[in-house]
Amino acid sequence: MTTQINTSLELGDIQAAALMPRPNPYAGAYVAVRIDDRQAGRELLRRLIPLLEPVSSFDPGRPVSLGVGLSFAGLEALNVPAESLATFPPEFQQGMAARADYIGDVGENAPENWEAPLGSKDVHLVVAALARDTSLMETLVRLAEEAVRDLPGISPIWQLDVHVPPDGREQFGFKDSISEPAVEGTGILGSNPHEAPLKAGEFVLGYEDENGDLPPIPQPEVLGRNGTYVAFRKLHQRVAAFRTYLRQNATGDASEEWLAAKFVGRWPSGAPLALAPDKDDPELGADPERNNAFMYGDDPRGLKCPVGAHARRMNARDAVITGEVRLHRMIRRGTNFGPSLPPGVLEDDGADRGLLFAFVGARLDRQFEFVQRQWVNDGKFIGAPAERDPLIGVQDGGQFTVPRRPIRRRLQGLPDFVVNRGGEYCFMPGLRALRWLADLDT
Amino acid sequence: MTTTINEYRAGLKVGERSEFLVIGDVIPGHEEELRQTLKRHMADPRTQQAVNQIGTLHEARFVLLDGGTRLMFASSFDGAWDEYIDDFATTDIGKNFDETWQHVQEYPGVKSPHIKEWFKERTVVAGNFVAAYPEPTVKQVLKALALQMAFQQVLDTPGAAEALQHPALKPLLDQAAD
Repeated sequence: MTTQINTSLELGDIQAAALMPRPNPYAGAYVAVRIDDRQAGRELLRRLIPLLEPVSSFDPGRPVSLGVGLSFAGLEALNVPAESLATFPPEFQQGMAARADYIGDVGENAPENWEAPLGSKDVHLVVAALARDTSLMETLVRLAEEAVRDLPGISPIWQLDVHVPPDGREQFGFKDSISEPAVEGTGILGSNPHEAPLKAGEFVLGYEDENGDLPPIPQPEVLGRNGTYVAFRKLHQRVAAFRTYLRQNATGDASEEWLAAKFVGRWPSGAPLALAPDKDDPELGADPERNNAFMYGDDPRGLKCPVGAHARRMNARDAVITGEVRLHRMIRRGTNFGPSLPPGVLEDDGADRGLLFAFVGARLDRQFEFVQRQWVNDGKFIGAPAERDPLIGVQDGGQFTVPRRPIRRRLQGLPDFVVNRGGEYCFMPGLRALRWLADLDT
Repeated sequence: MTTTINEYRAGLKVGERSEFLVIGDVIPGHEEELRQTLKRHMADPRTQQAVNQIGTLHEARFVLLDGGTRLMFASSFDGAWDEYIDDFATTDIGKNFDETWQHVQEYPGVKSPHIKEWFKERTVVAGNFVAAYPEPTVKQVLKALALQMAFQQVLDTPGAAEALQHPALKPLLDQAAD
């Protein structure tokens, strides 16, 4: 990934973990911490700050890297003044669990079924720690232990070890994390040369966004500026159920792999259906210059890539949909957790496996929550009100249409292949803001 | 205060569709009863049946304005609304209309010979009127939906791909891929 640093953004203040593409492969961990004593919480920040890198000096060769975010309850635990807390947007103040009905986390996905302590007011500070390989994880563990040493008011309460395998494939067997937006002024090149870079204000607070506005920024400015929001979700993947469904619904001229690719919008190698409509093309899938270099404008009916396919829903590019794609783009990070289900196995082994999803963006409401409501759990925006995202939607017996000649295939009564086991909204402050938080004397 | 328009003007028209909006003054003290009536009609399945029976009404809403002192009826129809009013008067629609408008000052009743004039005097014409599909009438839309449902049913039936190969069915085959 090429970077050309442009100084109009304060790249020396933005956490690298917010914007910089991640190494591949890597190992890592998400750790949630409860802050029972605000002084201890501030000391923890003082210890973490030297470990954080800004975008400007990010070294992709560095063996380990960290990102730090705080939930609204975490800001309260640090005793951030009430007048400042009140300037955070309401959805962040409420937290992901309180937004469950609104964003479609219902039924099995509802907070009462989440893994403790996710969804509780105890998740205060979240550290995302990445290492280029598993052996370097020891370094990470040591860093974490040092950070909380002799801090009795700090309790690590949840940890999820994550990894991205060398082939970059998520648990259903598809190469993931291919699509990355370019962010204007950062020098971070997106993976699609046909997509103009997005305004920095879509991803960092304090800068102009795609509407030509400055998104609302938490006050005082030193706290809000150069920060961003993160929504993370522990998504359990029902790999055996997915394979079984494919097996049951594959027909002579529609293999399991073909059907799965239509769900995803890409072949297992990562090759997009838009460029490889008929069969997988591993060379294309492996080529970062080409595997995201496409649009959908030449395929309005979805004959190559279904209009309802997961990848096309998440970024419709130039396809005609209701609304403006560029107002709802997200930086998306996906990392596997749990063991993979061996190839060919159709029996569920009961293992906890899936994908730790993280959204990064300046607007939880206009980006993350909009996408959950409109693009994941609805289909009106593509003219298919009875359909939801076939991979990650809460199906409720929904259907999925695979356009093809001579006649389309319509799958009915889809089961849920992904279940949200919990998550939270975090604010990922800039480095100056973290120092401001550490220096609070309230 | 009574707002009246003495000169009747037809509502704006796009394609086949006309907008029709009336505002009347609620009789003082009747607001609550009127609210309850609207709520009752909304929950009554016969209201939907009545709308289907009309066959030219795309949508309509009753809105209480200005703290319940005025009642607005905003709707869009295929063609003119007034030519069928005698026909509606004998149905549930007429009954609902009377139950609603009786709470508005000077309402003469749907069967009154003066009913058209009464509505016309209270018509407010829109400044702008748009519709996503201005041409098709209610009946055409319902027919098209029935046809679409039947077509999708055909596509879900084994053997549909072969059956649609007949040259006479080419226009249908062209629509079958998505």
